[in-house]
Amino acid sequence: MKATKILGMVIILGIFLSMPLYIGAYWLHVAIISLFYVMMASSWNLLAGYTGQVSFAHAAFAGIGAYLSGILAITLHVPPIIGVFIGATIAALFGFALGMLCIKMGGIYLSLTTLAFSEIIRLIITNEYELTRGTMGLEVPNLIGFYSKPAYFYIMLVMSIVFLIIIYRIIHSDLGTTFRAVSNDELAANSLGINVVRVRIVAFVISSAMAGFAGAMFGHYLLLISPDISSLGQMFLVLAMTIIGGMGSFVGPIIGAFFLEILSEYIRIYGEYHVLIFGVIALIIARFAPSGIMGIYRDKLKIKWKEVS
Amino acid sequence: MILKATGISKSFGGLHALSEVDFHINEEEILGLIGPNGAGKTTLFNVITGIYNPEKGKIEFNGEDISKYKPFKVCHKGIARTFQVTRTFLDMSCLDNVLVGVIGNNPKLSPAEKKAEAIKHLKFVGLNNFVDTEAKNLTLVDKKRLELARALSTYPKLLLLDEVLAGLNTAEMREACDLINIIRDKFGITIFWVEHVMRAIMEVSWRIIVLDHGEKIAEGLPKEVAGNPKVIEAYLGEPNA
Repeated sequence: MKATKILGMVIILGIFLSMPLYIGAYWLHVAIISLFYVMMASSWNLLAGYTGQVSFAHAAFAGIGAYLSGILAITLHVPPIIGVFIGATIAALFGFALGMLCIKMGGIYLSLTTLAFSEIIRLIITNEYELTRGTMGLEVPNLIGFYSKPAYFYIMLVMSIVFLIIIYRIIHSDLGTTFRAVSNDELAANSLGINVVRVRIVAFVISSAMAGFAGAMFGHYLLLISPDISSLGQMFLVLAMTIIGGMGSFVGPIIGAFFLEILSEYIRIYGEYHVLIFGVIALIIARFAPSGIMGIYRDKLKIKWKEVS
Repeated sequence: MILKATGISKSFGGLHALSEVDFHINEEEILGLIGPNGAGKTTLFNVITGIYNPEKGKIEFNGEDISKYKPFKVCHKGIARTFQVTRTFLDMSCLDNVLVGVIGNNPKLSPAEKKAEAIKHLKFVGLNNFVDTEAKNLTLVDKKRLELARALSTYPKLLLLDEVLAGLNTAEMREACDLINIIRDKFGITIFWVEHVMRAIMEVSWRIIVLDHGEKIAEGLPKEVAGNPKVIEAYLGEPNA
């Protein structure tokens, strides 16, 4: 079992590493965007899927990271490689503040508060046009100084893998166990000696730092960032990816991110209708596979396992 | 004396759930708490464990004032509890359920030691065959066992049990009562429990406290309490009424 798992991982890694050789510039662009969404969906899953704090501010944190790193590069000539880390740190600070604000809240109240925060950030970015150039978009420098899609693909690939390793280690650590305990029953976890407030804040800080970092990286790839990056549309896409892939599972958001991003390229020709198609897919998944694509896979596996034993 | 409470009051809106309750728990005893529905028994547990802070009064545990502590800190001091309606972590395996208690109180152990600890407690309550079973798939009795294992994994000095016998059949009750005695005798854990099954609580407890409408109306040996006219009145109503 373990050998096949490692073999599978090596094959997948091989496919990804050789991708720039056989897919064109267009699909390489799609792959880079998908990797951005892998980082976004996986880090959102850590917060929403594992600690049960369904925050709508994840895209806003990506926006904070992207704009901060961009503005620093333009005004103070901070190298983007340092800028992305500053962006992630500031996003983490905002995450800390928002997490503190939401401590007494759960469920829908937390969601609404984070939604409001997200809108505030988007409005600030849109209206502070002297700094952000508003809806015209902000031109930001490239991360590595020269423009190369394959190079950027590899950078995003490495960063995604680093993210996924960190997330994997967290969910399989004591911290991950307490995350799940808090999401299952906060009061019971508290009575068992878990500092629930700290656990919830830690989750907020880690996931918003990751979103800030991913947003900043993505901004320096796009070279032109607009308030769209922190919009609710972006947020709901991340949410849909996580839920369709399988919330609360490690692989789910990765599959969801690739699935929806690639799908959206195919249904782009239907224009406005492509939102409708997303909606229908989300409905079908919610009705027939509430735990997402990973849920279907796991159930199949369980049945097989039962047949064998 | 392991715990001393003086003048505990707690109200919800206009309802006085607890008013001026004084009591103490002796070291290594089994103390029972009874009273009609709505007497404030669970509220008293919630106040002790820090889920609510008392409006008035003081709770001292081993001489330390714990009345303002948060639940996790109360747990660190050595008070564990089970819940009237079980609150297991439904989506987690039995092992992970107990691991939460181990992590919360002994974070410095190695992963292997933590797992060994958790399995030890699961074995003690007889759940050794359900280590990897998700808690939602357990029967009510097994969920109660799991809660007990989880509480024990925090190494409490005082264990609060909220209606552990509710919903159990006669044989299971017998077993549970034996387990309570074993926990006290073997680990020296003081027990404070609420129960509606009179025969069981009278038989197992050393002393009993009776609450009614948020006030302590009686205290003493089981025999004394059972014969107390105030207690009989609380349960059955005024004579000749």
